[in-house]
Amino acid sequence: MFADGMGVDFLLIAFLMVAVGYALERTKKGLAKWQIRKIPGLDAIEEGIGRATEMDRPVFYLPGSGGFSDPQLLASMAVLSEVAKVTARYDTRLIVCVPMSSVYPVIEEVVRQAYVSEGKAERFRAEDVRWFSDHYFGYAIAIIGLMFKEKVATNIMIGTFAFDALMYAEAANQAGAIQVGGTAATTQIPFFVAACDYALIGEEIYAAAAYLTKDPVRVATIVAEDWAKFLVTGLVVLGVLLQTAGKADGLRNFLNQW
Amino acid sequence: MKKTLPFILTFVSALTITVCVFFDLAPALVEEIDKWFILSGAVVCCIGLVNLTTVHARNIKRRGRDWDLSYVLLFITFAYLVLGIVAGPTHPLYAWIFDSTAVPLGATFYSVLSFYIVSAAYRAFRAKTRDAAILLVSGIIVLLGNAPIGEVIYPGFGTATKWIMDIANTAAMRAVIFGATIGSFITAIRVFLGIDRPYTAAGE
Amino acid sequence: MSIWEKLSSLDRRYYYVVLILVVALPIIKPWGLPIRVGSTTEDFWKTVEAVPEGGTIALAIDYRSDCIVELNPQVVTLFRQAFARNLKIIMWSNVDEGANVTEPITRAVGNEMGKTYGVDWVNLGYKPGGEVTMKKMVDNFWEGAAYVDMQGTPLQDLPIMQGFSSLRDADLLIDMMAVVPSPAQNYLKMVSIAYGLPMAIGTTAIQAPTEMPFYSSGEYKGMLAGLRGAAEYEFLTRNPGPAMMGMDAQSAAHILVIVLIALGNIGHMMDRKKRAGAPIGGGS
Repeated sequence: MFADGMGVDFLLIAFLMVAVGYALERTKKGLAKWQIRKIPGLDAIEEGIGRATEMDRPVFYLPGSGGFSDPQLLASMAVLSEVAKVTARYDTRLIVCVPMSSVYPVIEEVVRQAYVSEGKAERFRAEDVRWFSDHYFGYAIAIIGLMFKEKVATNIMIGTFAFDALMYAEAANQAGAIQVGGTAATTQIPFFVAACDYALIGEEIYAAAAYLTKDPVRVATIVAEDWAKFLVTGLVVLGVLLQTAGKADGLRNFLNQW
Repeated sequence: MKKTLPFILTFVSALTITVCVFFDLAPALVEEIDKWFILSGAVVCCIGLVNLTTVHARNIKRRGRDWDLSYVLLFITFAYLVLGIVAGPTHPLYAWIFDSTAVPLGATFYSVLSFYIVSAAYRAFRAKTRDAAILLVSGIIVLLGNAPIGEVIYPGFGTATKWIMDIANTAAMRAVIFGATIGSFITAIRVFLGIDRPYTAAGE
Repeated sequence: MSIWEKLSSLDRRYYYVVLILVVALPIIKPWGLPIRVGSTTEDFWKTVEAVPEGGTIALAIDYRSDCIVELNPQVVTLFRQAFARNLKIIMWSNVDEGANVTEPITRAVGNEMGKTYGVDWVNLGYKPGGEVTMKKMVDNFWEGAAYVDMQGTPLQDLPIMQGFSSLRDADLLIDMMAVVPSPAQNYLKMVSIAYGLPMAIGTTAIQAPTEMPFYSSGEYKGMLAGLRGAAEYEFLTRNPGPAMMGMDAQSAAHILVIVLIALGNIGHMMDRKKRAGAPIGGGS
């Protein structure tokens, strides 16, 4: 019935879909009111935009270097949309630097739509959504230069980042910005934790859109995510017990082959 | 229409791929979609080129800031593009230009990271709390254990580093990887179901 | 102004100059610090040794020019170890620059060791498409590689490619990688685990912690981590090269970073102490 090795993957996806459906149903019927714990990094975003407004200096947004097959980019675009709405509301300049040419037109549209939804279409500046190069050194040098030139007040970095993350964080710090950095790229999490004022670690970036919008439908999907974590944690505990008893091969083969 | 069509396209293509891949159905269709994916990757490179050309051509036309550099950029871009297409990536001239510009520039740029690390080391790595102090001490042990001098100073640094990397680091990384992977699944499902529509300003 | 206040207000470019000096001096006059081989490197070496003579290594090159300092020595030493045992290497890149940065160094090793291009090794060039291409390379390697090598030579004209129709035909899969998201984890999931093909990786020091869980769990049979991993590999294969030369400089840079962290923290503590002792509402 299933393709080789796809059975368990399918069951996991099916579990997630059912969990999302169930959580949505309970939310729509008003049977449950879910809440996401406080995430200081996300609260700091509006505070940072307020700071930029008071200082009359721009907000910088970097969506990371992922392409469309990277979920981190999708999560980042949802946050960007919310950030753009707030900057539109406050009449604060927002500069978005896109590292991949393929992503550029969509990011531009996301920002434009956010301004339109706030009734500020005329305040949208297409030239503030920038693409420099698909290569780190062209992109990163341009961004660092722009941070100093524009005297950025707030720097928000959410998405996939490579070694260049620390460079942006340090450059923005030197330019006097407060910073929110978030990534699920485990390589760069330590740099964000060390160099940014607020850091979003791993899955927090996927919860960001739900947290910022407080949309009950999105929050319900985060609840389903927690249920999936319980399932995976159960599997981990089972694996540890079986491995300790020297009988893990069966489970390993089942998960890999079936 | 502008909002519905992308959602329908996303939903139908995701559903097709999911069903075909999980149940090993219509391999020819999957192969065809795979080819489209690769081809679309090549096409979007052209979008970047069009954007770059438009921005700099406009700058030249308006005699904007550093317009003369826009000329240089466009000349280099198109000259190298034509050379690559005509002569191929292994042509000695093409390879020489690449080896003597992109390679050293790339390596130099990566090396610049060390300066930022030095600056961050002084500014950011502070033991402000107990947790930060634990992180800092672990970081210093790993720094010493990862360079030969660490074991010259004290042979135990190598063993301590191995423990931190194999046990503490691996445990934390696994937790982050589990959480992030499930989070990415949920993000994909949100896009699949149209709850998140990043292509139309996040569900607007 | 106390010395700590002076230090904290010091222009950071002074630190940069100190870093240049600290890194340059051991390169000019090496210290000759001993190198101890770690288990990740030793396992990598053993995994390559375990490939039967005449076997084939499938080598993905997934890094750009920015990481050549750490990864080129790893690739060169791998070629030396493999060629010494008459192993064949089929390499390609999922990253645009990968094939270009490794072409000159691998050709130099091949020529030096009397090996023939197309017979003992082949560079298939940049193969875009990410996971889709990886999957295709399992189903039909030639189609995944678009039927040509880097120079446009048809694969049917290359003796090394005869009989190699799927990644499953390789004896070992190695990914030398320094990009995010990790292509090695995709190879692991789509090829190594799915078809039981042994896999090892080489990566930068920055990315090593991310890949470590997969080495610890035994999924990666070996791992070269950064310049240190490259130096250990050179030492183990008795091929001293640039990585071993760079070890003293790395030691010096690490010590400088530790000194700066210590200075920063002492300054921070002094500052806190001073503030705690200052009278409320005081100051000039």
